[in-house]
Amino acid sequence: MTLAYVYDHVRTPRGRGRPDGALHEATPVHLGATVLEALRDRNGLDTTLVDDVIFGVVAPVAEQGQCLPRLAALRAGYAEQTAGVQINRFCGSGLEACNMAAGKIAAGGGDFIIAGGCESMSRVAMFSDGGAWSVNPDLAFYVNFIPQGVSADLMATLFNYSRADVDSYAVRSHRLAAQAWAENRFGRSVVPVRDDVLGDVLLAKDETIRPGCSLEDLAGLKASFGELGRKAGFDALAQHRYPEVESIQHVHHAGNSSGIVDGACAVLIGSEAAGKAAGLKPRARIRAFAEIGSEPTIMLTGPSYAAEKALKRAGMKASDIDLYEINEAFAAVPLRFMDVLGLDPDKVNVNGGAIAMGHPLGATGAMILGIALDELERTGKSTALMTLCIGAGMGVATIIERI
Amino acid sequence: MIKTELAGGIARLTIDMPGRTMNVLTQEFVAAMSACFDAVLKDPELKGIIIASGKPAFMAGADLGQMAGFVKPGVTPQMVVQQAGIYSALFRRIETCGKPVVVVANGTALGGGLELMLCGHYRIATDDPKAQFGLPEVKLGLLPGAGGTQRVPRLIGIAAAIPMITQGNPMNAQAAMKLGLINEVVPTSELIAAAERAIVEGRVKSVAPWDVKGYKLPGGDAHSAVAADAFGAANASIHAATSGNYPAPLAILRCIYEGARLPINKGLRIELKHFATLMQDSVAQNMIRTLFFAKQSADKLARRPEGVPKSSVKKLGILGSGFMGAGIAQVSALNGIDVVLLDRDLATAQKGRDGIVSAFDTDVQKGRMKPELRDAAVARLVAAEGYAAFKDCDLVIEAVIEDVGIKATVTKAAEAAMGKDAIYASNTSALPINDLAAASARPQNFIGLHFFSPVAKMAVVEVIVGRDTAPATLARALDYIRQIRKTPIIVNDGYGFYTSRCVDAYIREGMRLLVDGVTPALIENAGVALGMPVGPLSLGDEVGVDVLHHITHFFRTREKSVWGDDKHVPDRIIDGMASAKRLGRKTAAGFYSYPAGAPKHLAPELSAEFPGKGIQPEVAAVKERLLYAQLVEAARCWADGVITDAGEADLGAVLAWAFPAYLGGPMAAIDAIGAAQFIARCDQLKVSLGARFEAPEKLRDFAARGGRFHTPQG
Repeated sequence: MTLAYVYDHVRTPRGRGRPDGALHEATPVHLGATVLEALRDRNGLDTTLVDDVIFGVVAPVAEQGQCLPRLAALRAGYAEQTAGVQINRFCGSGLEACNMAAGKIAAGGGDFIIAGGCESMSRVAMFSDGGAWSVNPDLAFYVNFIPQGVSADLMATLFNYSRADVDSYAVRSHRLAAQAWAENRFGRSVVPVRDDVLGDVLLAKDETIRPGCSLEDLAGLKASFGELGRKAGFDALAQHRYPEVESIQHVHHAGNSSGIVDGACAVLIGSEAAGKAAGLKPRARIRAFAEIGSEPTIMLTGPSYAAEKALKRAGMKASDIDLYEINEAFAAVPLRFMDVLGLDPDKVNVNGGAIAMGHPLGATGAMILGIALDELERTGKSTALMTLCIGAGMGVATIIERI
Repeated sequence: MIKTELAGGIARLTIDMPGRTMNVLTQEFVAAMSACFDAVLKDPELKGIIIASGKPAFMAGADLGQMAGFVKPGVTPQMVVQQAGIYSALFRRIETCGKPVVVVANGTALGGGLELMLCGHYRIATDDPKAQFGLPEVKLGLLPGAGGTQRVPRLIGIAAAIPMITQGNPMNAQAAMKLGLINEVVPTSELIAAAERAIVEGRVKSVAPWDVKGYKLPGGDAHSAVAADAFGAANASIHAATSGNYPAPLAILRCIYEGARLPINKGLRIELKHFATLMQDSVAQNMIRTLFFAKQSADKLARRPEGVPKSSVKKLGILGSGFMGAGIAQVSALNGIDVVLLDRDLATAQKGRDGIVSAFDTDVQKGRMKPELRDAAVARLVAAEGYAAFKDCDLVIEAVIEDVGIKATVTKAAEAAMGKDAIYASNTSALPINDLAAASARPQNFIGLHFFSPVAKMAVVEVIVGRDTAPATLARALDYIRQIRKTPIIVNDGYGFYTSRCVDAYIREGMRLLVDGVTPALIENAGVALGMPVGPLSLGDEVGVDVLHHITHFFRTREKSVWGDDKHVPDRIIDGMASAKRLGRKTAAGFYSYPAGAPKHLAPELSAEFPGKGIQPEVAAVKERLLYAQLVEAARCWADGVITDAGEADLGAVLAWAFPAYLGGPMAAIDAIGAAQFIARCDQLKVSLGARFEAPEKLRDFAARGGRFHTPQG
């Protein structure tokens, strides 16, 4: 079977996902076009060779709707021959796009495919696509729906992560992200977003990192899901599914959960032959990938299962991996992931994560793949595993090997 | 059944069902109303139709008696859709008859009655504040099956419809108008004139808004921002509150959600499918049997001894003005009875009276009571100085400390002052009436009236008939219960009677689970998942460990058997907590800790002493133990002759200790399991868990004869 290689990747910086965020005036089409243009231009890529653009977009409605990847590719001046498809696996979409691209190429169904994602959370709000999960009574009862934040608190309760544990993890994320920027570790791959009239830079660096963030800073923040959990009945539903729990310990808040941000990412994936024909050198090989479903009420424990499945496919053990990127949706997620796989924290999210830099839902998965690849190259290490927890109890993971 | 009058082009249809105090939906009604419409619509001059009631109320709803036919063997859900669909079809026909239809309610319109109003194009209700409007079907495990789940959201929007139909609480006409269900509220005498005026002035359309092209639901369909939020909130809160045990609220949410996007005919079809499913489900059957038929029978005093003239209590004596005595005094005074409160001295009695007055004041301040009502009730309350005040009491209720000696002393003193025909009741919760009546000079006038705490809120009174209690005493006690608008259940004498034994069994099994190494959190969550309002340990704290301590040692004197030994294994927990003065909520320490200003949590002492041992059981196994403990105890009460009427036993269980209504009650639950299967399971539990699960011999005989406590429906 044909192998799939990563040739290059770029991402936008992540802008605060609010009206005062630097990327709020950039439309999703502009964000998507920005990364597509940059990826093409720095590789001198003939876009007639690009079969498809697969983007994760989690709220694919309004100006993010109507198959944004095709529209962004057109606006980026890509060849008319390049198709586009929008996918949604919630928070795992960006990595899922990479896996789908790899799968197509491995199956001989593509030469070059650009995978990635785009999410302007300041312009198209989370959940604006609606959906049945919490609203359709039959479904909500059947799957025992609770919001993710309560699931994260349920995880912290079941696995004994105290408020100090999760806050300490958050402080680490900010410290490492700040250090990464200070050492310009992201510089190779982050393309500034410019305003599309005068070309002035709107944002060149991730906007939400707080370098000096301390435990004391976080201590004052009120847990975000306590009132919701207690008053709306979600705690009771969590206990209904996990009757060993006396009461949910609400420890997550805005400071130890992933931030709401705007951003886009594009990863050029192709076959060996396609690279040769285009004169491009592969940077990494995609060794394995996997997706899983697991218990939907606790919802966020999927990454370890997805990682184990991908490791098995790659014929590897957890200790064979040099570097891990686990999306920091909530601090309890990476803590649990490290505990289950028995990981050395120094191998995990070494440049910070979504708690510091934010989680542009459709794009994050592809972003962490790129960040891991850059880090492998910087340190001369070989293998990395990326994984994300996903709504409704799913998980996705990908293993890459530097070339 | 329906009187038709035609004047000035307006047909007035007055519903007055013969032989009934209330109009209800029946097959005969459907036929009669259809015929009326056939007739009046033939008139080419017809301008409009008014539907009214010839009874004091508009219509109470569907005839639950007729619904028994829906659960007969061989009746498929499709047949129920067909048979129950006649009401929905009639209402749709009225709605689409092509002429303006005004429905006027001169009184209460509940359930099918309100649904009949909703199919009219214009609705006018009386301003009588006693008239009630609502869709209470959910309270009996059903849903409004004649258009309620479809027309209400289409009229008032999804967000307002959800609480109205899933909670089923009635409202007065003003509130119904504010909500948008009713167009006008006028005095009863002006109803017809207002209806005629509305038709003549052209204010009544001849089509429903949802039959007009371009109609949109107020507030948008199920996925509008407002409705999606409302569904999100209702799904969570209802799912949490019902623990998945009650299908009706979910079915209602589904009807609203799924029907909202559809043309109304398809929405009505969805509603009927869910109605049929609920109707045939055991939950609705259990709730209807217990909460409707058994309650109606108890409230009508069906078991009152015959031939005793109807009586009423004009003056009531209360012995002991503590929490229970004061509560009984409070509800009695509110219901027009003069009350004298007696305690060890005037100051104590006065204190009890002050407490009641301040409770009334709070009700007035919060707008729950009219000041006139309070003033009248307060005027009926007297704190007395001595037993002489009982001279002209018709009834004296003793509510002193649970001590046979003290009770004997006050009984003698009271009887010495009371008239010789007056009756005397003890509010004991566990001491046998025969023992207490031993102190009485006239045990034929002696009875047990076991009130529950808080008296003002608890609807039921356990009436205990002693060996010597005269039928007339029972009849008069029941008359009094009815006078204060409580529901009586009648039991025979025995230690702990019925309710105290069963609630004790629940709490006791919770403690036994602790002893067996099950974690406290799992025990408590399993109790809630079973459908009890709180876990057994929480309930223990509410009852009070001192009370449990008293009861358990008293019960132990009567429970000497092998199963008694096993049942009393947890006594050491109660003894330990009682001696450590960890008495429950009252001491802010018990099974739980009660930190000031923070939610209670399981006491660290408890988790330290019972950390949980080994692999924890499945929650289903814990639920089963907590259920079977109650069922076995109820079966013993039945075998002991304490309870004799299965309907009252079930009703008492639901009302007194909040036994899950979806199961109907302990007797219904044993029926549902099957007496033989129940015994077989008890035999297994006896081996695996202990002798306390031993089923009584009488139940074995009963099961061997294929016995059932309730006759099957249909």
